[in-house]
This record gives sequence, structure tokens and C-alpha cells, in this order.
Amino acid sequence: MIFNSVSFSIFFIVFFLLYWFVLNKNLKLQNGFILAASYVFYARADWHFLFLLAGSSAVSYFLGIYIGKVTNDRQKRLLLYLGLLQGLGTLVYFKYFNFFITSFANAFSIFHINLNIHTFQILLPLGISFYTFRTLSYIIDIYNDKTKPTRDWVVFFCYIAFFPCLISGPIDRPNLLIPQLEKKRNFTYEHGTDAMRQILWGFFKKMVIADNCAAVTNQIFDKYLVLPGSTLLLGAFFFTIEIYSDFSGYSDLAIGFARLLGFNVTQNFNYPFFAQNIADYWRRWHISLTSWVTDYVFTPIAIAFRDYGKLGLLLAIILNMLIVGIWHGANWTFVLYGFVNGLYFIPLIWLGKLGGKKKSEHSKLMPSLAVLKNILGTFTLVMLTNIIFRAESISKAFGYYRRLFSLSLFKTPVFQGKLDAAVTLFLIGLMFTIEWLHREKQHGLQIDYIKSRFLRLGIYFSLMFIIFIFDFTEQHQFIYFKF
Amino acid sequence: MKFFIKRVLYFILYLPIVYIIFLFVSIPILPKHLQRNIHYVRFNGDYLYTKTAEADTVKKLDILVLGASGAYRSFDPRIFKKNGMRMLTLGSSSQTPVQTQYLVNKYINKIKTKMVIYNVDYIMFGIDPLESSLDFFSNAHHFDRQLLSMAFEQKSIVGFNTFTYAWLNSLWKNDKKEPASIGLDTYISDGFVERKISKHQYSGEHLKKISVNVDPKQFQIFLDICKNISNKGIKIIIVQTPTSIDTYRSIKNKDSIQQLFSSFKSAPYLNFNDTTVFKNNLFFDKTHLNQQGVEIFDDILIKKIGNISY
Amino acid sequence: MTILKELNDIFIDVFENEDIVLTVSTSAADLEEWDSLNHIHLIVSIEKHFNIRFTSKEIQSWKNVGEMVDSINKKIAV
Repeated sequence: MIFNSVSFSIFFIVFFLLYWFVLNKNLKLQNGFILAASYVFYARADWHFLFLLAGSSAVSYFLGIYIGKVTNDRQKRLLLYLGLLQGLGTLVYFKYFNFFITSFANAFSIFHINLNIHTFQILLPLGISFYTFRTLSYIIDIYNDKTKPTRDWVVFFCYIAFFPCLISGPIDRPNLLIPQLEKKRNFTYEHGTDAMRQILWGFFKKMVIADNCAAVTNQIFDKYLVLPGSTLLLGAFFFTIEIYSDFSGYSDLAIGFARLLGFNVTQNFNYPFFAQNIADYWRRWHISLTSWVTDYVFTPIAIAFRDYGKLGLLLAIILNMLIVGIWHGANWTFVLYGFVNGLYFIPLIWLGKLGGKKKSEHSKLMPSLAVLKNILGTFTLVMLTNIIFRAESISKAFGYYRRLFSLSLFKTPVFQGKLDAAVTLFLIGLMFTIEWLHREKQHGLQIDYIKSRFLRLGIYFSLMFIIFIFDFTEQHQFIYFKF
Repeated sequence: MKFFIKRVLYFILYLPIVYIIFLFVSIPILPKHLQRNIHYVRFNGDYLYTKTAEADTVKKLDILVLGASGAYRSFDPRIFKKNGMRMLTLGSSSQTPVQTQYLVNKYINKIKTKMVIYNVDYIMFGIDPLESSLDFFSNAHHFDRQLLSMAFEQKSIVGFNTFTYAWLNSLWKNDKKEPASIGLDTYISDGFVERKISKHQYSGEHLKKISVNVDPKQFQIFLDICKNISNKGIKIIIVQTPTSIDTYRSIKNKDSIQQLFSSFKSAPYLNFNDTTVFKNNLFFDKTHLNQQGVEIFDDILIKKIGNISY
Repeated sequence: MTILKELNDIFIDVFENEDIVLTVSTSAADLEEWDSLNHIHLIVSIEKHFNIRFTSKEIQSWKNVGEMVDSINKKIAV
């Protein structure tokens, strides 16, 4: 069930009413209800792998208890490895097995050795990259004494399968979500309305911005071999906006729906395109994933390499970014994407400008020229690696770059639907203006500071109207054959 | 909490009203390319508006023709009148069985006709009925329940927006008349659209071979329409108007589609695709007869109708 | 000078922020500049300053400044 569908709307409304009006008295029942609904939600999308979800949850649940109980260090470590093996093992099998096989065979083919290796028909279980990271963080945190194991299996299974976040995140840590599951949830009018605002904003970004950008992006990337560099630049631009609005829109929806149920789920995007350097960007982009990899991959490695100064730090960062890259999918493009982003950190590491927040531009309305320069520079760096991210193969990515950085960069752009793209550009401007005004806030449409109810309602109605007029998810082929 | 639900309900209540106001105010001023999810196609060249207005005044007919553009471009009422027959064509651009059924339900009891000619073509079971629905919404005179259910069946935001806007316009504006000529086309009373340059000839082209889709739902509606008409004691003939040789040859599955056309056993099926007669010079594009072709076709058809035994 | 005061100076130095005042309960959530990247600098500076060496497990186990102080004290006592 995708969020912008009639079936999900009905599902959620029914769930919401039962959750707050019927099941609110008993916490255990209410949690059980969440679990049941989450499994129904998952089953509707992908029932084959429901057992895998339940199985992974069960393994982590029991391992968590044992790791917490056992005092012998060696036994503890063994249990941890078991958990890592189960989680990473299933993830690697389902996601990367074919990738390894084909890459292995390709490597041999360079030496003209033909390995007749067949790839298996391995389907990718829905959400596995997300819920596996939840189970892993749970056992690792227990091992490191950062969290206590929970004895309530319903609570734990809910933590893993929480339906607003089950399919595409955010990836919550146990310390954030489990305590909330163990306590009664309260509903306040302010949180409810703000959650609705966040959901509206998510729908706007996903259905208007993302889908309209995709229309431009797809035709440019499909025909990149014959288009001038200037068009390819636009393609990279629209794609960058597309993934941002699609994913951050989705995250806003997930967070909004969770908030309607009384849960505060982790923020996933913090206005990444307002970042002024690449380190800042990665602190704002897909936060739940990057912070996960930072805490469980970067930090231990960086600590181990701390004697090697800046080089050690660089190595840790590159490994970190490689994992972030490959997490996205089984393709060498993702590896390269991660690697290049890691390299981007080099100037920052050498100049020691990695950390913290710049305190300067917080409450100014218009960005200063220096800030603007940094923002645009960072955006350009990101935009260029997104070409690798989207390309189907590394050779195609390089083909794209070759045409992009040729003299045809200065030719006028060529593609279908220029007027539509111009409209989309205007809407992108609108989105960023609104987000810039709210860049210190939890989400782009947190307009509770507007005192006039009329103005607030006007904004909601206008956004809904724009969604209905500009939503591109419905793509009808109008043949107009005049038959 | 109850306050929250109350507020949400009020919002949902007001939303359609505000939405309709926004729609009504913005569409006239928004440039066409900004009108993404709405396709208001009033007076778009098939003269649906005018011919349904005429149909409202007709009581008796000899022949009622149904179909898509093959229908309204191939049956010249003037030729039939010369042969003593009153003929009206209720056909529109990209019309599918869904819309034909709407027209039949609306008019078959109001108009006494001796015969119905259901004009069929290769793509009628395969195209998205939404396109024609938008035509019907934009050019409707009365917004009845059946038209509304057509909008709901399409489940399309474009359909709903177009329907709503067209309905609002009908309340507000006084209906203009459709221009007598649009581009190269002239409207002839009783549903015929004449291509003005009657000697305009098709020169043939290389067409990629395609297999046309058949939507079983559309096919079933076609059968239901035929049954409905036949049960009322009205003679019905299924006619396939000529199409150019290049088009004819490019449809890979034309035989199976032609079999579908002849599925209704109580109706004779006449296929006029005679390549010895209908050469390219009788068409103005790859599928439509020019006026010369129309005259030849109508003469052949009238002779054939006279010889049909039931 | 207490360990806490010495730590405070190291924090000010690494984070380039003169306004930092540490308490035993200060954690990464309380200081904007204290993120994973600066954390490494911090550890290296602390180890250099006190001439001690932490294990990875010890470093990972700190939840706040107070626990850091305890770890440092243990190391110095040895």
C-alpha cells in the first residue's frame, strides 16, 4: 500500500479511529493492534516475505535478551556475531548475492576465463534494508550497553515492523522508539494538526514536485547519447530535486502518520540543499541512514584509525560513504557514488573544517552572497554525483559525463515539454522558498506561527488545489487519433 | 481529540467547495500548459455538442449511426436523403463502447429508428475510454447521473476536474454555438463532418506493424449494446468502414479483431475494406475517407443495405 | 586543576568555542559541535594531553562527560 492511494487512506482512517477510541484503554492491546496492522500492511505489499520479517524479529528479540543476560565476554561476543551474521547474512543474500556472482564472473572474464555462473531468481524482500538495520542496531546497542533488551515481544516486533516506517524508513534506533512503545501515547490537538501539515507537505513534494521532475529526468536520461550537454545538466538538476522531493516527501508522510498515532519518529531530512559544505550536507540527507552508518561503521573505524591523523580520518570517511552508497543497491554505480562522496571530504579534512554548525545565518531572511555561494557549490557537487547514482552502469555514467563536459554544454537545451519543465521549475522555487523560511523548523510546513486561521486555511487549500491540478502520477496516453 | 476530528471533518467538508471555486476561477486564466489535470475540450472538431443538440429534437429516423471518427466522417446524410432515408450519426472522436453505450441509453427510446449501423474500427476496444469521456464532459448539455457515473468509472483526477469544470461552465455561461467550420472541416447537419478539401488525397506511408489490444470489458459493453438494440426490435448492422491499405496491412491481429466484430450473431457484419476499390486517393489520411471516398462508400453501402435479409 | 576543568579546556580548544562549560552530565546532545567527526579529534587530544590510551570499548561506552572523567581517572591511577 503506497501512501497516496485510496486503500491506504481508508486503512489509516479506520486504524486511527480504532487506535484512539477503542484500543486506547489498554496499552498491550493497542500495541498488539499496531503489530497486527503492520503485518497486514506488509502482507498486502509482499506477503511472501512476512515470515522473514517475523523470523528476523524473533532472532533479534531472543539474542537481545541473551546478550543482556550473559556476563562472559566471549559468549557475549559470540551472540553478537550470531546476530550480525543473521541480519547481514540475509540482507547480503537477498540483495547482493547476484551482484557478487556477476561481478566475480566479470572479473574472471577480463582474463578471458568464462565462468558459466547462473544468477538465481532472488526476489528482494520489501523493506529488508530498513528493518535489518533496526534489528542490527538493537543487538549492537545492547552489546555496547547503550540500551536494555526488552522483554515485551509485542513491543519489540512493533519496533521492527512499525508500519509508517516499515517500507522506506526512517530507521529509528531502539532508544527512540521502544520507550515510546512501552508508554501510553497521548494525542494533542497541536501535534495532530502539525502532523497533518507535515503529511500535506509530504504529498505536495511527492506528487507535485517529484513526479513532475521525473517526467523531465526520464526522457533526458533515456536519450542522453544524443542530447547536448546543457540538457544533460538540466537532467542532473531535475533528478537531484526529484530524489530529494520524493524521498523527503515520503519521509514527511511516514513521520506525519507516526505522529498522528502519538509517536515521535526520527527526522530524516534537514533541508540538505541549504548545506554549505559536503559534511553538512551528509548530516542533513537521509539522516537516519547516515547516522546509523556513522555510529556503527565510521565511529569504530575512526577510533581504530585515530593514530593515523587526517589520513585515518579520510579512510574512515571513505569506508563510511562506501557503505552508505552500496546500501542503496547492488550495483557498482552505488559503490562509485559512495567513493566519490568520500573523496569530497578531502578538502574539509585537510582544512579542519569538518564539524559543527555555522552560527551565522540562522535568522536572516535572505542568504548572504557568501552563504549562497557555499550552498550552490555544495549543490553542484551533489548534483554531479547523482548522475552516477541514477546511471544504470558506470560506463553509462561516464558516457553521460563525457557529453556533459563537452562543448555542447553551451548549446541550447533540447527536450520535450519545455513549458512543463518551466512550470516545474517555478514549483521547485516555491517549494524551496517555503522550506527556506522554515529551515529552523521540524518540517517545511510548520506554519503554526501564522496567527490568522484564514491565511493558514488558504495555504492548505491552495496546496491541495495545486496537488490536484499538478499531480503527475496519473499519466494517460492521449493518442488523439480522431477515430 | 474530538476537537481535532471536528476540525478535520469541517476541512474535508469545505474542501470540495473551495476546490470548485478555485477551479472555476483559475482555469479560464491559466494558460493551457498549466492545466495539467484537466482537459476541457469544448468544440474540439467532432461537433459532439451540436449533434447531440440536434439529436434532442429528432423523433424519427431511418438509420442511426454509432461509432468513432470513422462514423462521423464516412456517412453523408445528404446522400442517404437522396435515397429517401433520414440518417443521424452519433459519433465522436475516439469514442469507445463506454460512450456509445451512454448515447444509446440516452437516445434509443427517445428516437424511433428503423435501423442502427454500429461502425467499428480496429482500435475501438483498445484505447483508453478516458479520452472520449473528457470530450463528452466538455461538450455535454445535460449533466445527468449517467455522465457522472462515467466520471466515477474512469477513476481519473483529470476526468473529475474536467467534469466539474464543464458542469460549472454550463451553469454560468450561455451556450454559444459551435462554428460552422473548424479548420478544414465543415459540419453537415445530422452528424456528418465533411473534410472541406474533398479531393485531398492520402499518399501512403510506411507503418510499423502493430498488434492492437482488446479490452474484454469494452468488448462486453459492445455486445451489450448490440443486444439492447436488437431486443427492442431494431435492425442492427455492424459495419467496418474502409481504411487505407497501409493501415489495413499494419494491424497484425486484424483477423482476430474482425472475428470479434462479427460476434453478435443477430447482426450481419459488413466489412468494406475492399482494396481494389478503396485506394489511397480516396482517403485524406491513413484511416479516413475524403469526400470522394465517402460518396463511393455510401453508394455501395446503400445498395448492400437494400439487399440484406434478416 | 580537576580533570573536568582540563577536559573543559580541551573541549574549548577542539570545538573552537570559548563558551563551553562542561558538567558531569553534559553529553553529545548538549553541544552542537560534538558530532562523530569532532569526537575523534577530542579523543586524540585527550589521550595526548593525559598521556593515556583508551580501548575502543571504553570509548564506545561513554554516555556523558562524567563517564569520560571516570575513565580518565582509572587510567591515570594505573
